[in-house]
Amino acid sequence: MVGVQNKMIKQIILAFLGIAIVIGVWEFLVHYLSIRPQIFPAPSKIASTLHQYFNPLVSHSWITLKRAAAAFGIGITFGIVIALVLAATPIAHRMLQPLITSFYCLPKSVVVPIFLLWTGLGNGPAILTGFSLAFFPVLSNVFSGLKSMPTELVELCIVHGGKRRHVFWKIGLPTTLPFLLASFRAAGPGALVGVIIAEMMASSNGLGYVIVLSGSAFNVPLMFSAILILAGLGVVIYGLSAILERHFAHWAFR
Amino acid sequence: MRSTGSQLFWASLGLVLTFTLWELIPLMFNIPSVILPRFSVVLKTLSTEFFPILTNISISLYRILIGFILGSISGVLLGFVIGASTTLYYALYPILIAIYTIPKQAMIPLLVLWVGFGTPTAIITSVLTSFFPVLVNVAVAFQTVSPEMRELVYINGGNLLRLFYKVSIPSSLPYLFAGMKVGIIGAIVGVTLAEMLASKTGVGYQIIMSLNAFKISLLFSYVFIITCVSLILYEFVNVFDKRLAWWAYKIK
Repeated sequence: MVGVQNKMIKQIILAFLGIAIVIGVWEFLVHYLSIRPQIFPAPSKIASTLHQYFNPLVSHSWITLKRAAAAFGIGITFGIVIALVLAATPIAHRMLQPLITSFYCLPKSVVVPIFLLWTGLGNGPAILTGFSLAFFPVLSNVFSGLKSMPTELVELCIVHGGKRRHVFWKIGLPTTLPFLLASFRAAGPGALVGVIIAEMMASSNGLGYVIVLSGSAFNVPLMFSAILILAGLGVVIYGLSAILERHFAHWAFR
Repeated sequence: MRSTGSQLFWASLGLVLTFTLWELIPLMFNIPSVILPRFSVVLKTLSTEFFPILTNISISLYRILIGFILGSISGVLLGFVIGASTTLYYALYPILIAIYTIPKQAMIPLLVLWVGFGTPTAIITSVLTSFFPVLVNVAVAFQTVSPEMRELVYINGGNLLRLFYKVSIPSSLPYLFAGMKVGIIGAIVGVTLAEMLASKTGVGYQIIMSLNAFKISLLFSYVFIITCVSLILYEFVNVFDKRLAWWAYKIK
């Protein structure tokens, strides 16, 4: 036990050390080579920009976060429903498989103009693009989860007079839950990426818009700040899904 | 396992049905072609605008492939280095995950300022989007080589080089291909987005132009074609995966 704890402490120290060294070297190099903040701002400059633009950055981040949450929710719902349909009807699965692969390969950036055409500027393209990125990991994970139901258990359930719904509730759900939760780690950041992509082209608010706008105003420190917030949001979303997974599916040794 | 013949039959039936629905739905519900052009209209546009579409596809494809190849190779090399050292791995892993979760597409406006409008930005975006998935996957694969295998190599008189060659590299192949599959799709998204934001050529730019000119069937033609290209590239990586890392699929 002590050994495990020591190893964890070592990992955490190394992680912080790595971050500290990167920030330190970054700050030093920018000053040492006297790189202008319009090209590559130092961490201290980014920190002061974050402070200066605190309120607008928070409100734009909040807009982006709300859109990502909506996209994530819709993506999960559709992912689960379609995975259930495909797992329940093998013919539908075989007919739709190539179509699903095609939609997976469809670059989500090029559909933003189509969403823009259909729904107008703002929430529509952002949520739809985020949805289209969050949807696939959920679909494929839930589908493999449903497919990995132990056959012996299913047979046992049916032998004891279980119906399809019993098989689903008693065996399908517990086997699929770890797969579903694991997919959140990809679907959450996916939704965020989709929202950002759409905001860069078809929105007048949100972090994606801030990034493009600060680019055209040559305000590189602001752009760095927005990208940094975005990275922070990504890490938080990723971390939350990992915690969720560990909490609700800790019994699944996958 | 079903026969490939019947699989192919159902798959093509599904596709034919989709294209039929795409053709019929706008007709049935009277959807104007500026909202959703029929499939036949898109096909017709594809043939009339064949040469401009071909030119722009090849420009985009060039940017995608150059970036993807550079990104994958550097990702593999750096992944080897980081994955081989436990200290380096724990020190850099959190940073890598943080950079990995930054939407690389968000850096396009920055790249425009750094490397310039057009092809450079598109290629660097493609490099960045394919580099990180490969790097992270290879590093993780190297770190998670099973201790039994490691001991087996050493017991039999092997050294670090032999461990790499016999165990680490083969066992990281499925991870490498998984990373490359994410990478190629990411590269295509990255390049098209870079073209939409900062280029005067390529599929992305043409899509924006057709939207501005309200040539919606041309827009759909470009989307259709880039999806086909994306599917081909993805399946290409997939074929390599199934050939070189077949044993990872056999266990299932």
